[in-house]
Amino acid sequence: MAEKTPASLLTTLVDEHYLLVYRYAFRLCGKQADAEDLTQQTFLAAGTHAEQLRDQKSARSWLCSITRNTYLQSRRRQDVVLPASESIVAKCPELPVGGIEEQELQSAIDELPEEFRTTIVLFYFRQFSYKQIAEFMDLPLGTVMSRLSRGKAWLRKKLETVASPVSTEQFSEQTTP
Amino acid sequence: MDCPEVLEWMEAAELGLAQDAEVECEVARAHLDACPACQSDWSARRRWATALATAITNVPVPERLQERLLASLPIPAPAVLNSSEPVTTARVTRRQLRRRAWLGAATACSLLALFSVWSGFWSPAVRLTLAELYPAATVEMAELPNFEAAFAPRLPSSWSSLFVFHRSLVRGFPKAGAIAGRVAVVPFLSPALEGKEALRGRLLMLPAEQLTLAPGDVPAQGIAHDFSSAEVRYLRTGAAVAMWQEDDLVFVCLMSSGPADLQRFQRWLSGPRSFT
Repeated sequence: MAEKTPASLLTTLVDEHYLLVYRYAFRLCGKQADAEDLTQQTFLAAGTHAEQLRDQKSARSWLCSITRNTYLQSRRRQDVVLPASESIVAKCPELPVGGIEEQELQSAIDELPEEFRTTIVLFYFRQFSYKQIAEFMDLPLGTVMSRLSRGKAWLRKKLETVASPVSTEQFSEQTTP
Repeated sequence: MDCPEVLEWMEAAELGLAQDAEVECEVARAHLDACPACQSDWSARRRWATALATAITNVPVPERLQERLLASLPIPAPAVLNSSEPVTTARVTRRQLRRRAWLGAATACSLLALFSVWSGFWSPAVRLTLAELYPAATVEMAELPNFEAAFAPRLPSSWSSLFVFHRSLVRGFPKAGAIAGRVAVVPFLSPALEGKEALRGRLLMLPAEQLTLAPGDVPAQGIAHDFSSAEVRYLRTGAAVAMWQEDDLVFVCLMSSGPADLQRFQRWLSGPRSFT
Protein backbone atom coordinates (compact mmCIF):
# COMPACT_ATOMS: atom_id res chain seq x y z
CA MET A 1 0.00 0.00 0.00
CA ALA A 2 1.35 3.39 -0.92
CA GLU A 3 2.50 5.49 1.97
CA LYS A 4 0.20 8.36 2.79
CA THR A 5 1.30 11.88 2.23
CA PRO A 6 1.52 13.97 5.39
CA ALA A 7 -1.55 15.93 4.33
CA SER A 8 -3.68 12.86 3.70
CA LEU A 9 -2.41 11.23 6.88
CA LEU A 10 -3.44 14.25 8.85
CA THR A 11 -6.84 14.38 7.23
CA THR A 12 -7.31 10.73 8.10
CA LEU A 13 -6.26 11.36 11.68
CA VAL A 14 -8.82 14.12 12.02
CA ASP A 15 -11.55 12.09 10.39
CA GLU A 16 -10.96 9.07 12.59
CA HIS A 17 -9.99 10.60 15.91
CA TYR A 18 -11.29 14.12 16.27
CA LEU A 19 -14.23 13.01 18.39
CA LEU A 20 -12.00 11.19 20.84
CA VAL A 21 -9.51 14.03 20.99
CA TYR A 22 -12.19 16.66 21.45
CA ARG A 23 -13.97 14.71 24.15
CA TYR A 24 -10.75 14.05 25.99
CA ALA A 25 -9.81 17.71 25.63
CA PHE A 26 -13.21 18.74 26.94
CA ARG A 27 -12.89 16.55 29.99
CA LEU A 28 -9.44 17.95 30.63
CA CYS A 29 -10.39 21.61 30.18
CA GLY A 30 -14.03 21.59 31.13
CA LYS A 31 -14.90 24.27 28.59
CA GLN A 32 -15.99 23.96 25.00
CA ALA A 33 -13.88 26.80 23.64
CA ASP A 34 -10.74 25.62 25.43
CA ALA A 35 -11.37 22.07 24.32
CA GLU A 36 -11.74 23.14 20.72
CA ASP A 37 -8.51 25.12 20.92
CA LEU A 38 -6.75 22.19 22.49
CA THR A 39 -8.08 19.86 19.82
CA GLN A 40 -6.86 22.18 17.13
CA GLN A 41 -3.45 22.49 18.76
CA THR A 42 -3.28 18.73 18.98
CA PHE A 43 -3.81 18.23 15.27
CA LEU A 44 -1.50 21.09 14.39
CA ALA A 45 1.21 19.47 16.47
CA ALA A 46 0.38 16.11 14.91
CA GLY A 47 0.90 17.67 11.50
CA THR A 48 4.21 19.15 12.52
CA HIS A 49 5.48 15.89 13.98
CA ALA A 50 3.74 13.44 11.69
CA GLU A 51 6.97 11.53 11.17
CA GLN A 52 6.83 10.45 14.82
CA LEU A 53 3.79 8.31 14.17
CA ARG A 54 5.38 5.08 13.03
CA ASP A 55 2.31 2.91 13.33
CA GLN A 56 -1.16 4.21 12.70
CA LYS A 57 -2.55 1.65 15.13
CA SER A 58 -1.09 3.74 17.90
CA ALA A 59 -2.57 6.97 16.56
CA ARG A 60 -5.18 7.16 19.31
CA SER A 61 -2.73 7.12 22.17
CA TRP A 62 -0.27 9.29 20.24
CA LEU A 63 -2.91 11.96 19.72
CA CYS A 64 -4.13 11.74 23.31
CA SER A 65 -0.56 12.05 24.43
CA ILE A 66 -0.15 15.24 22.38
CA THR A 67 -3.41 16.55 23.79
CA ARG A 68 -2.28 15.85 27.31
CA ASN A 69 1.16 17.38 26.89
CA THR A 70 -0.28 20.47 25.27
CA TYR A 71 -2.77 20.80 28.06
CA LEU A 72 -0.13 20.32 30.74
CA GLN A 73 2.06 22.96 29.17
CA SER A 74 -0.72 25.50 29.28
CA ARG A 75 -2.26 24.92 32.67
CA ARG A 76 -1.35 26.97 35.66
CA ARG A 77 -3.70 25.96 38.39
CA GLN A 78 -2.97 23.95 41.47
CA ASP A 79 -4.84 20.70 41.71
CA VAL A 80 -6.43 19.50 44.89
CA VAL A 81 -4.82 16.64 46.69
CA LEU A 82 -6.83 13.46 46.81
CA PRO A 83 -7.18 11.77 50.14
CA ALA A 84 -4.91 8.84 50.77
CA SER A 85 -6.29 5.60 49.46
CA GLU A 86 -6.92 4.12 52.89
CA SER A 87 -9.45 6.78 53.73
CA ILE A 88 -11.50 6.42 50.61
CA VAL A 89 -11.66 2.70 50.06
CA ALA A 90 -14.99 2.58 51.74
CA LYS A 91 -18.21 0.94 50.83
CA CYS A 92 -19.36 1.99 47.44
CA PRO A 93 -22.23 4.46 47.71
CA GLU A 94 -25.43 3.93 45.78
CA LEU A 95 -25.82 5.66 42.46
CA PRO A 96 -28.01 8.77 42.84
CA VAL A 97 -31.59 8.09 41.85
CA GLY A 98 -31.60 10.91 39.35
CA GLY A 99 -28.40 9.67 37.71
CA ILE A 100 -25.33 11.80 37.08
CA GLU A 101 -25.75 15.43 36.18
CA GLU A 102 -23.33 16.69 33.53
CA GLN A 103 -22.47 19.91 35.29
CA GLU A 104 -21.76 18.16 38.56
CA LEU A 105 -19.76 15.50 36.79
CA GLN A 106 -17.52 17.99 35.00
CA SER A 107 -17.14 20.03 38.14
CA ALA A 108 -16.02 16.89 40.00
CA ILE A 109 -13.66 15.92 37.16
CA ASP A 110 -12.20 19.43 37.17
CA GLU A 111 -11.28 19.04 40.80
CA LEU A 112 -9.31 15.88 40.20
CA PRO A 113 -5.56 16.21 39.83
CA GLU A 114 -4.69 15.86 36.16
CA GLU A 115 -2.98 12.51 36.48
CA PHE A 116 -6.14 11.09 38.02
CA ARG A 117 -8.37 12.92 35.57
CA THR A 118 -6.61 11.56 32.53
CA THR A 119 -6.55 8.04 33.89
CA ILE A 120 -10.24 8.08 34.68
CA VAL A 121 -11.36 9.78 31.49
CA LEU A 122 -9.38 7.41 29.31
CA PHE A 123 -10.70 4.47 31.27
CA TYR A 124 -14.35 5.46 30.95
CA PHE A 125 -13.98 6.36 27.30
CA ARG A 126 -13.53 2.63 26.85
CA GLN A 127 -10.90 3.16 24.21
CA PHE A 128 -7.92 1.99 26.25
CA SER A 129 -7.42 -1.06 28.43
CA TYR A 130 -5.73 -0.84 31.82
CA LYS A 131 -2.51 -1.96 30.25
CA GLN A 132 -2.77 0.56 27.43
CA ILE A 133 -3.45 3.35 29.92
CA ALA A 134 -0.39 2.26 31.86
CA GLU A 135 1.67 2.44 28.68
CA PHE A 136 0.16 5.78 27.77
CA MET A 137 0.92 7.24 31.18
CA ASP A 138 4.27 5.49 31.27
CA LEU A 139 3.45 4.08 34.67
CA PRO A 140 3.39 0.63 36.21
CA LEU A 141 0.04 -1.09 35.96
CA GLY A 142 -0.30 -1.10 39.75
CA THR A 143 0.03 2.68 39.90
CA VAL A 144 -2.63 3.11 37.26
CA MET A 145 -4.98 0.79 39.11
CA SER A 146 -4.33 2.62 42.33
CA ARG A 147 -5.05 5.97 40.69
CA LEU A 148 -8.19 4.62 39.12
CA SER A 149 -9.36 3.15 42.36
CA ARG A 150 -8.77 6.33 44.32
CA GLY A 151 -10.04 8.63 41.61
CA LYS A 152 -13.20 6.69 41.01
CA ALA A 153 -13.93 6.40 44.71
CA TRP A 154 -13.45 10.13 45.08
CA LEU A 155 -15.69 10.79 42.09
CA ARG A 156 -18.44 8.51 43.38
CA LYS A 157 -18.29 10.14 46.76
CA LYS A 158 -18.39 13.61 45.26
CA LEU A 159 -21.29 12.87 42.96
CA GLU A 160 -23.19 11.06 45.65
CA THR A 161 -22.79 14.02 48.01
CA VAL A 162 -23.89 16.52 45.42
CA ALA A 163 -26.89 14.45 44.52
CA SER A 164 -28.05 14.00 48.11
CA PRO A 165 -31.70 14.96 48.29
CA VAL A 166 -32.62 18.20 49.99
CA SER A 167 -34.35 17.64 53.30
CA THR A 168 -38.01 18.48 53.65
CA GLU A 169 -37.25 21.36 55.99
CA GLN A 170 -34.76 22.89 53.61
CA PHE A 171 -37.15 22.43 50.74
CA SER A 172 -40.01 24.18 52.61
CA GLU A 173 -37.75 27.03 53.57
CA GLN A 174 -36.58 27.53 50.03
CA THR A 175 -40.01 27.52 48.51
CA THR A 176 -41.95 29.51 51.08
CA PRO A 177 -42.52 33.04 49.77
CA MET B 1 -5.00 -9.54 44.58
CA ASP B 2 -6.84 -7.58 47.27
CA CYS B 3 -10.48 -6.51 47.34
CA PRO B 4 -10.03 -3.06 45.73
CA GLU B 5 -8.00 -4.60 42.92
CA VAL B 6 -10.60 -7.30 42.40
CA LEU B 7 -13.32 -4.72 41.98
CA GLU B 8 -11.15 -2.71 39.62
CA TRP B 9 -10.60 -5.72 37.40
CA MET B 10 -14.27 -6.62 37.54
CA GLU B 11 -15.20 -3.12 36.50
CA ALA B 12 -12.72 -3.20 33.64
CA ALA B 13 -14.14 -6.52 32.49
CA GLU B 14 -17.67 -5.15 32.78
CA LEU B 15 -16.77 -2.27 30.47
CA GLY B 16 -14.90 -4.54 28.06
CA LEU B 17 -11.50 -3.12 28.90
CA ALA B 18 -9.74 -6.24 30.02
CA GLN B 19 -9.42 -8.30 26.87
CA ASP B 20 -5.68 -8.23 27.32
CA ALA B 21 -5.89 -9.36 30.95
CA GLU B 22 -7.83 -12.61 30.97
CA VAL B 23 -5.77 -14.14 33.76
CA GLU B 24 -6.28 -11.19 36.07
CA CYS B 25 -10.01 -11.21 35.35
CA GLU B 26 -10.28 -14.90 36.15
CA VAL B 27 -8.49 -14.41 39.45
CA ALA B 28 -10.74 -11.45 40.22
CA ARG B 29 -13.89 -13.41 39.43
CA ALA B 30 -12.80 -16.30 41.63
CA HIS B 31 -12.14 -13.86 44.46
CA LEU B 32 -15.51 -12.19 43.97
CA ASP B 33 -17.30 -15.52 44.10
CA ALA B 34 -15.73 -16.25 47.45
CA CYS B 35 -15.70 -12.83 49.11
CA PRO B 36 -18.90 -11.53 50.75
CA ALA B 37 -17.45 -8.01 51.14
CA CYS B 38 -16.73 -7.70 47.44
CA GLN B 39 -20.09 -9.21 46.55
CA SER B 40 -21.92 -6.63 48.65
CA ASP B 41 -20.10 -3.80 46.89
CA TRP B 42 -20.11 -5.15 43.39
CA SER B 43 -23.70 -4.43 42.37
CA ALA B 44 -23.36 -0.75 43.29
CA ARG B 45 -19.94 -0.55 41.66
CA ARG B 46 -21.34 -2.05 38.51
CA ARG B 47 -24.13 0.53 38.30
CA TRP B 48 -21.63 3.35 38.88
CA ALA B 49 -19.32 1.97 36.22
CA THR B 50 -21.99 1.95 33.56
CA ALA B 51 -23.39 5.32 34.58
CA LEU B 52 -19.98 7.01 34.70
CA ALA B 53 -18.87 5.51 31.41
CA THR B 54 -22.03 6.80 29.77
CA ALA B 55 -21.85 10.22 31.40
CA ILE B 56 -18.15 10.85 30.84
CA THR B 57 -18.32 9.85 27.20
CA ASN B 58 -21.35 12.01 26.63
CA VAL B 59 -19.59 15.16 25.49
CA PRO B 60 -21.55 17.17 22.96
CA VAL B 61 -19.36 17.99 20.00
CA PRO B 62 -19.65 21.53 18.61
CA GLU B 63 -21.26 21.84 15.23
CA ARG B 64 -18.91 21.65 12.26
CA LEU B 65 -15.92 20.96 14.46
CA GLN B 66 -14.49 18.49 11.98
CA GLU B 67 -14.88 21.01 9.19
CA ARG B 68 -13.13 23.70 11.20
CA LEU B 69 -10.31 21.37 12.14
CA LEU B 70 -9.77 20.31 8.57
CA ALA B 71 -9.77 23.93 7.50
CA SER B 72 -7.03 24.72 9.96
CA LEU B 73 -4.81 21.79 9.12
CA PRO B 74 -1.32 22.14 7.80
CA ILE B 75 -2.25 21.05 4.35
CA PRO B 76 0.56 22.30 2.17
CA ALA B 77 -0.23 24.78 -0.50
CA PRO B 78 0.15 22.86 -3.76
CA ALA B 79 2.06 25.66 -5.43
CA VAL B 80 4.78 25.30 -2.85
CA LEU B 81 4.97 21.59 -2.31
CA ASN B 82 4.55 20.55 -5.88
CA SER B 83 6.94 23.09 -7.17
CA SER B 84 9.69 21.58 -9.27
CA GLU B 85 11.57 24.83 -9.24
CA PRO B 86 14.97 24.25 -7.66
CA VAL B 87 15.45 26.08 -4.43
CA THR B 88 18.89 27.35 -3.67
CA THR B 89 20.30 26.98 -0.22
CA ALA B 90 20.91 30.69 -0.17
CA ARG B 91 17.18 31.27 -0.07
CA VAL B 92 15.88 28.30 1.79
CA THR B 93 16.55 24.60 1.74
CA ARG B 94 13.97 22.26 0.33
CA ARG B 95 13.47 20.80 3.76
CA GLN B 96 12.97 24.26 5.20
CA LEU B 97 10.59 25.11 2.45
CA ARG B 98 8.60 21.99 3.06
CA ARG B 99 8.60 22.58 6.77
CA ARG B 100 7.72 26.17 6.30
CA ALA B 101 4.88 25.28 4.01
CA TRP B 102 3.60 22.83 6.57
CA LEU B 103 3.83 25.20 9.43
CA GLY B 104 2.60 28.08 7.42
CA ALA B 105 -0.37 26.20 6.28
CA ALA B 106 -0.95 25.24 9.86
CA THR B 107 -2.02 28.74 10.48
CA ALA B 108 -5.68 28.35 10.98
CA CYS B 109 -6.98 30.83 8.50
CA SER B 110 -10.04 30.79 6.36
CA LEU B 111 -11.30 32.82 3.47
CA LEU B 112 -14.51 32.67 1.61
CA ALA B 113 -13.71 32.33 -2.06
CA LEU B 114 -16.25 34.61 -3.51
CA PHE B 115 -16.58 33.64 -7.08
CA SER B 116 -18.79 36.41 -8.15
CA VAL B 117 -19.88 39.78 -7.04
CA TRP B 118 -23.47 40.45 -7.69
CA SER B 119 -23.68 43.84 -9.24
CA GLY B 120 -27.08 44.44 -7.78
CA PHE B 121 -25.90 43.52 -4.32
CA TRP B 122 -23.53 46.34 -3.86
CA SER B 123 -24.76 49.43 -2.18
CA PRO B 124 -22.80 52.38 -0.88
CA ALA B 125 -20.91 51.13 2.16
CA VAL B 126 -20.41 52.91 5.44
CA ARG B 127 -17.01 54.52 5.63
CA LEU B 128 -14.83 53.38 8.48
CA THR B 129 -11.85 54.71 10.32
CA LEU B 130 -8.96 52.45 11.22
CA ALA B 131 -9.77 52.76 14.92
CA GLU B 132 -13.28 51.49 14.28
CA LEU B 133 -11.77 48.21 13.13
CA TYR B 134 -9.80 47.53 16.31
CA PRO B 135 -12.63 45.80 18.20
CA ALA B 136 -12.39 43.03 15.61
CA ALA B 137 -9.28 41.83 17.46
CA THR B 138 -11.36 40.46 20.28
CA VAL B 139 -14.83 39.96 18.89
CA GLU B 140 -16.10 36.40 19.20
CA MET B 141 -15.87 34.88 15.75
CA ALA B 142 -18.87 32.70 16.44
CA GLU B 143 -20.98 35.81 16.94
CA LEU B 144 -20.15 37.19 13.53
CA PRO B 145 -22.30 36.36 10.55
CA ASN B 146 -20.82 34.68 7.52
CA PHE B 147 -19.28 37.22 5.25
CA GLU B 148 -21.53 38.18 2.39
CA ALA B 149 -20.32 38.76 -1.10
CA ALA B 150 -20.14 42.53 -0.95
CA PHE B 151 -16.68 42.35 -2.48
CA ALA B 152 -14.23 39.64 -3.34
CA PRO B 153 -11.60 39.38 -0.66
CA ARG B 154 -8.29 37.74 -1.38
CA LEU B 155 -5.18 36.87 0.50
CA PRO B 156 -2.35 39.30 0.88
CA SER B 157 0.38 38.42 -1.59
CA SER B 158 2.89 37.25 1.00
CA TRP B 159 0.34 35.03 2.72
CA SER B 160 -1.06 33.20 -0.26
CA SER B 161 1.59 30.51 -0.51
CA LEU B 162 1.49 29.71 3.19
CA PHE B 163 -2.15 29.77 4.08
CA VAL B 164 -5.03 27.51 3.37
CA PHE B 165 -8.45 29.06 3.39
CA HIS B 166 -11.79 27.66 3.96
CA ARG B 167 -14.94 29.38 3.01
CA SER B 168 -16.94 28.23 5.99
CA LEU B 169 -14.72 30.11 8.41
CA VAL B 170 -14.91 33.51 6.84
CA ARG B 171 -17.01 35.79 8.92
CA GLY B 172 -17.58 39.43 8.58
CA PHE B 173 -19.21 42.68 9.32
CA PRO B 174 -21.48 44.61 9.39
CA LYS B 175 -22.77 43.52 12.75
CA ALA B 176 -25.18 45.49 14.85
CA GLY B 177 -23.45 47.19 17.74
CA ALA B 178 -20.03 46.51 16.29
CA ILE B 179 -18.50 47.49 12.97
CA ALA B 180 -20.95 48.98 10.53
CA GLY B 181 -19.00 48.62 7.29
CA ARG B 182 -18.44 45.61 5.09
CA VAL B 183 -15.35 43.88 6.36
CA ALA B 184 -14.27 40.28 5.90
CA VAL B 185 -12.55 38.69 8.87
CA VAL B 186 -10.55 35.51 9.12
CA PRO B 187 -8.93 34.18 12.26
CA PHE B 188 -5.47 32.73 12.02
CA LEU B 189 -3.31 30.65 14.25
CA SER B 190 0.38 30.38 13.63
CA PRO B 191 2.58 27.46 14.59
CA ALA B 192 4.93 27.94 17.50
CA LEU B 193 7.47 30.48 16.32
CA GLU B 194 10.97 31.01 17.57
CA GLY B 195 10.42 28.54 20.35
CA LYS B 196 7.44 30.41 21.74
CA GLU B 197 3.73 29.77 21.76
CA ALA B 198 1.56 29.81 18.67
CA LEU B 199 0.16 33.20 17.77
CA ARG B 200 -3.44 34.07 17.16
CA GLY B 201 -4.76 36.98 15.25
CA ARG B 202 -7.34 38.32 12.87
CA LEU B 203 -6.91 39.38 9.30
CA LEU B 204 -9.39 41.96 8.10
CA MET B 205 -10.04 42.81 4.48
CA LEU B 206 -12.00 45.73 3.15
CA PRO B 207 -12.12 47.81 0.01
CA ALA B 208 -9.77 50.77 0.21
CA GLU B 209 -12.54 53.13 -0.72
CA GLN B 210 -14.36 52.21 2.45
CA LEU B 211 -11.59 53.31 4.77
CA THR B 212 -11.08 56.87 5.92
CA LEU B 213 -7.59 57.30 7.26
CA ALA B 214 -6.79 59.94 9.82
CA PRO B 215 -3.42 61.70 9.47
CA GLY B 216 -2.04 59.70 12.40
CA ASP B 217 -3.01 56.41 10.77
CA VAL B 218 -0.54 56.81 7.94
CA PRO B 219 3.15 56.33 8.69
CA ALA B 220 5.58 59.02 7.55
CA GLN B 221 6.72 56.85 4.66
CA GLY B 222 3.15 56.36 3.49
CA ILE B 223 0.89 53.35 3.42
CA ALA B 224 2.75 50.07 3.08
CA HIS B 225 2.04 47.92 0.07
CA ASP B 226 2.87 44.59 1.62
CA PHE B 227 2.73 43.00 5.03
CA SER B 228 6.47 42.82 5.47
CA SER B 229 6.85 46.59 5.35
CA ALA B 230 3.69 47.46 7.26
CA GLU B 231 4.30 49.36 10.45
CA VAL B 232 3.30 47.50 13.60
CA ARG B 233 1.54 49.74 16.05
CA TYR B 234 0.69 49.33 19.67
CA LEU B 235 -2.92 49.85 20.72
CA ARG B 236 -4.06 51.05 24.13
CA THR B 237 -5.75 47.74 24.71
CA GLY B 238 -2.37 46.01 24.52
CA ALA B 239 -3.16 44.64 21.09
CA ALA B 240 -1.20 45.44 17.95
CA VAL B 241 -2.17 46.36 14.43
CA ALA B 242 -0.51 46.41 11.04
CA MET B 243 -2.24 47.93 8.02
CA TRP B 244 -1.28 47.88 4.38
CA GLN B 245 -2.89 48.15 1.00
CA GLU B 246 -2.59 45.88 -2.00
CA ASP B 247 -4.37 47.22 -5.07
CA ASP B 248 -7.99 47.88 -4.18
CA LEU B 249 -7.98 46.13 -0.81
CA VAL B 250 -6.78 47.23 2.57
CA PHE B 251 -5.56 44.52 4.91
CA VAL B 252 -5.51 44.94 8.65
CA CYS B 253 -3.75 42.39 10.80
CA LEU B 254 -4.73 42.50 14.46
CA MET B 255 -3.07 40.57 17.22
CA SER B 256 -4.37 40.95 20.74
CA SER B 257 -1.19 39.56 22.31
CA GLY B 258 0.74 42.69 21.38
CA PRO B 259 3.26 44.20 19.00
CA ALA B 260 6.15 41.90 19.84
CA ASP B 261 4.12 38.92 18.73
CA LEU B 262 2.85 40.66 15.63
CA GLN B 263 6.39 41.58 14.66
CA ARG B 264 7.48 38.00 15.23
CA PHE B 265 4.66 36.84 12.98
CA GLN B 266 5.61 39.46 10.41
CA ARG B 267 9.25 38.33 10.45
CA TRP B 268 8.19 34.76 9.99
CA LEU B 269 5.98 35.57 7.04
CA SER B 270 8.46 37.88 5.44
CA GLY B 271 11.39 35.63 4.83
CA PRO B 272 13.15 32.36 5.44
CA ARG B 273 15.53 33.84 7.99
CA SER B 274 12.76 34.44 10.47
CA PHE B 275 11.56 30.90 10.23
CA THR B 276 14.32 29.32 12.27
